[in-house]
Amino acid sequence: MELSEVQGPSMRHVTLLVVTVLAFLFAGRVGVVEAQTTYSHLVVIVGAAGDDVYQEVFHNWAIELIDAATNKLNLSPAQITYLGEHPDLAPQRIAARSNRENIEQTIARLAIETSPNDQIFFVLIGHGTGAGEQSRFNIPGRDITALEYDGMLNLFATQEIGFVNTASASGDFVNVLSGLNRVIVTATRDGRQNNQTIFPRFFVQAFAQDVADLDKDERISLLEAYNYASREVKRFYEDDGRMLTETSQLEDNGDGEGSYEPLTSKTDGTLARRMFLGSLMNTSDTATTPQADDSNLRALYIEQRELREQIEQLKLIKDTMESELYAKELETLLIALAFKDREIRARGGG
Amino acid sequence: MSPSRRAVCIGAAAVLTLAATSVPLVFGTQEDAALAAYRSGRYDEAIRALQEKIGSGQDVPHDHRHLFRALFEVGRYMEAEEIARGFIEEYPESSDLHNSLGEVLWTKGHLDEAETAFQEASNRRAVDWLTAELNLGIAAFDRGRRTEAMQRFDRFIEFYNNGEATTSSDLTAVGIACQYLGISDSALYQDALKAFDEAVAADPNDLRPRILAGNLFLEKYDSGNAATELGAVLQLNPYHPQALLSMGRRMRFDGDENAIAMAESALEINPNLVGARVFLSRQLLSAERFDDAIEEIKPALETNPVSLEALPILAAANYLRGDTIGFEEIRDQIFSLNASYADFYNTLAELLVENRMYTQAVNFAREATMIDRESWRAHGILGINQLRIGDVKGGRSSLEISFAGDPYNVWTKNTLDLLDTFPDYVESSTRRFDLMIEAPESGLLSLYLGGLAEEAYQYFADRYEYEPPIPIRIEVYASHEDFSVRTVGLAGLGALGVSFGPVIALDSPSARPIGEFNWGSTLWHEIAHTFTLGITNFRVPRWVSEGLSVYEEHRARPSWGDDVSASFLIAHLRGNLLPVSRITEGFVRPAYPEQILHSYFQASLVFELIDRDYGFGAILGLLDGYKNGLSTTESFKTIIGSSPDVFDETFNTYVEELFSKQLTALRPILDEEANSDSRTSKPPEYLRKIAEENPGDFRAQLSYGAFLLDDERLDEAVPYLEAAKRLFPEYAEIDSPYWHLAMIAKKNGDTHRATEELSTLTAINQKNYLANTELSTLYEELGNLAAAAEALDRALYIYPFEIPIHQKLAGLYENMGSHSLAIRERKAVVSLAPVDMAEALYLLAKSEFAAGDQLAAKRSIIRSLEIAPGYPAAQELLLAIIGSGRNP
Repeated sequence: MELSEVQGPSMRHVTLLVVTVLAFLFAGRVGVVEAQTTYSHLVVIVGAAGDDVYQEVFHNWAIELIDAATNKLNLSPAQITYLGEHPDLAPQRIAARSNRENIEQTIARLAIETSPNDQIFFVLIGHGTGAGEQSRFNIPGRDITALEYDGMLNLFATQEIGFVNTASASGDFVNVLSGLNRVIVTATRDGRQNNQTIFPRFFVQAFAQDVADLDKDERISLLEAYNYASREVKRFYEDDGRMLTETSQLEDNGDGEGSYEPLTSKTDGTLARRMFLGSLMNTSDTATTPQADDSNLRALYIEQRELREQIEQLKLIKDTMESELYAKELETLLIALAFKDREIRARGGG
Repeated sequence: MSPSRRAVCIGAAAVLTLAATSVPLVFGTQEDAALAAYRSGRYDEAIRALQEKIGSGQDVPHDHRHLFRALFEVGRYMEAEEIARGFIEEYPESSDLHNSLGEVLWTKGHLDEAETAFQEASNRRAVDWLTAELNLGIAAFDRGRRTEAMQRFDRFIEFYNNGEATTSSDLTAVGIACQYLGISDSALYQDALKAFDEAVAADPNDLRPRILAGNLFLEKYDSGNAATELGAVLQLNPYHPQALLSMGRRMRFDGDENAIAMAESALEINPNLVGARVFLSRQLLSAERFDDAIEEIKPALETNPVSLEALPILAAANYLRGDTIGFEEIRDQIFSLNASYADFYNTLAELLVENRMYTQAVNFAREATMIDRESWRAHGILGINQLRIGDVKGGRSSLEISFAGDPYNVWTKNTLDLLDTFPDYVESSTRRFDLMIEAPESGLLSLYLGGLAEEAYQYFADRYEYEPPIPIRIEVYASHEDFSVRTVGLAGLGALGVSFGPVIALDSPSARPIGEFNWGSTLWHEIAHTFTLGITNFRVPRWVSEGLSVYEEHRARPSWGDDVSASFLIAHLRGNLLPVSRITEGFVRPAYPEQILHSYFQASLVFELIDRDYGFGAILGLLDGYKNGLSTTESFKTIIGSSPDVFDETFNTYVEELFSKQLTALRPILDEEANSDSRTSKPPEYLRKIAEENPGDFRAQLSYGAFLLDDERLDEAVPYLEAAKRLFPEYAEIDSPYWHLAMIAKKNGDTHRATEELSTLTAINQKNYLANTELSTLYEELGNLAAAAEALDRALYIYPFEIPIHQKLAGLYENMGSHSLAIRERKAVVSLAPVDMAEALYLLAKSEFAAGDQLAAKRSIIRSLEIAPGYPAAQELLLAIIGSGRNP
């Protein structure tokens, strides 16, 4: 590549084959250039702890996550709901007791209040029991089964749902809750893994600390948070010299089969990759397109988003391509994106 | 039992049935005293009683048989022969003792006469005619009439099925026949065990089938069951020579230091036991005492001049001594006795392997396979040693043949299992080395290993004026058990690395806990072996090769190679160190657990001394002598002008002078032990008193200093620690004064002092990871980046798997402008699959860009951005790379 050719992004070198493939992949999408404002919402449900120690631990994890959501991710208090076992523990922060009624009401309210393109995150912290459709997340009073949660989530017809059950014996939630526009994360492989989990500690840490942003886009996707937590759980048990008693999984392609390592399996992770806990989001696939008053900047954002999307799509078909061709196309797109991002930064964008 | 040709695991069902009858037996009261004495190993008493009974004329035929057996077992073969001949003469119509006569004649090497006697016993349908039939089969087998032999053995299945084998002896004969038939059909080994089991059931007092079962277990590498069987025999008769010998073999297999004593005890009962002489002679050959081995085997050949057990030992001794004519004479004699005797070459090959002559072993094992294609032992030896000289494909093929014929051989099976894992390894090459490293570690280790190996090769090639054939294969095993199997076919080897010459196998640094070894010095050590083996055509004595390897470790890096230890000096004070002429025994037959380590160090000191007094040329001269077939005695006389015995005195003086201060400081330990005055349980006041009254006592100073440290009286501890350090400066173990003094200095804010202490410590102790990382931090605080980097670099050869160490070292090299080393460290980080791979690749690209390697930098930054397309710093670097004016 000559120096003169790298002064700006150029797609001229993209081969016909790749253009064709990408065109196929982008069919019906490339034309969407107007960003739609949307929001993410966080519902934290802390279940019945059983004793004072767990009560404190669970509450602290919930608070840490909520603090990260508000302080680092700029969610407004209205976007966060904390249902806890003992509201009097922090009356200013816990909206209501985490019993069946309040959970049902919260979900029903969000189904009405949220926009069609919003993303809603449910994070369950506590103990779990049971198996299959009767898997339960233990709450004060009568538990809600996985099957019942599935019914409640059906209220969200178009919104994207991140349902993260960090409890013990949570694994069978994956199969029961699996569906369109849903990312289901569980701390365990199945109902038989019923020891107390450490997964929530690291899942919360992924948002609260600067440790999980592996693609350097300054945001934590649900996939990144999952990968971080999953990896740290394994490390925790290894360092402690103990056998692993919790095997987390993520499912988001609707087939009911979770992946332990979505990055490797390539069957899950696509939706989780584009779900972000943040104040102001865009629903289009991989990119956040901040709103900007500057129309030029807004246009740059849209071009940036398209380039990022092309890169992601190219990566998806990597295994089907000649390595040299892939490398060449990737390089072209990355250079184009680098120039675009530089331009955005020069205009005061980020 | 049905000796059908079923394949059953040898160690399962048969063991259970044998175990069921392994309860110690009690002789019935009706047994006569002579027989009871014989069966419990009171041979002299039994012989006297039987002789008296026979002399009194109250004898019956079985008294003669028992007397014969008692005399035979204790090796009084002449008398045994006389008893047999006398009986036959006295009772010409009797069928008894013809087979016995045959057995003693066979044992003495009168083969034709023996066969005649066996045939006579068989013809007369003696009570032991089946045993005589078996002996005819064995005679045919051993004399090279293989077809006839196997036909005879085959008939034993019919004998059994027809119910003709009823007594313990008969069933034992069936078992032995099955064992021979097992050569062609390994399932018969199982039937052999079952037959022995039934023989025991038929006569619980008959120890022979148990011994044979034990031997068979051992032959199939099942030491545990062998020990059970032989242990049961020795409970009944603790003096049974054959059982003692078999137990000795079993102990040798397990590395038990008392194995030789056990075999020697067999010889005390039966001084003419050929097998025991063979066993002891083999041990001497392993210890490179070739002349002694010949002296040991001579009595065996006097007993039986045509022993197919003993003759190969003599042949091997001649070969190892470089006596080609002597070797060929014995070889021809053996093949005149049995033209298809593959075990001659097998035994020879095994002994050559024990003397590290792997290529020659391959050649002889191949000869064995050509003589006898059903010698599974030969295929096994061939395969294992093909692997050792780098012929992996050929080795696998040979082992598969061996395993198909004898699936009970654990060594073969383990090695084939290991070979099945080879696809999990990554093979790469440098100029002179082929590296094979397990995939997850390959990226990291090859960064260091290849470079170090090349450095070693060039260094040794210059120094020894010799270049071994290339490529040299280096295999690195993350599992110590795999390394062990690769080396000796079984788990449990204690070594860290091994050099077969063209092939080196090593424990990966991940195979052992941090601080247990320095893999860099281990590699250096093994490559030194490759040179000393090669330059002498594999005739270098073990102690010389080991000594030079340790000596070269010391020369390679200041910290590498073990330094003198307290235990070494105490062994010297106790007179436990072996003389130079016998150091090899310390490696192959250590008298106490630490003797192996002591022998390594002692041998290295020998070469320090030779280098000092005679120059390195003398060492090259010694090696040249070995190459030309000279013994150590001859080489020493030629090059140094004195025999090893005389050199011993010089060496002792050298040790006394070199460690004069340290020996004085350690001597009180001996006095304490003599007075049983253990200081560990003494109160602090006692420790203080002893330390103050004995300023020259190393342990007194260190003990009280350590106590003060524990009591957090740091400043008070310093003078005692200083004293201990002064008395024994080489002491750099985990509780050494250096470490404690460094930590005290650090706490007091004296960074310079702390670095001095740790610097000395790390120059002595090659395995202290923490001291090196700590030292690096201190040097960095002092702004000495080069020294900080050196310390971390040393740490990597102890344990290279910690990402932060590589990151830190990369930063240091970058600050020092050492681009290539910085790149190596950045690559190391990437190879360790860090969580933040995008950043690791970005930093690698940055280093590569700084080094002017745009092409590599672009490749790395693209990989980074593939993971994190919007990574601003990486994007800017990419744009800088492509806009740098060059065309990467």
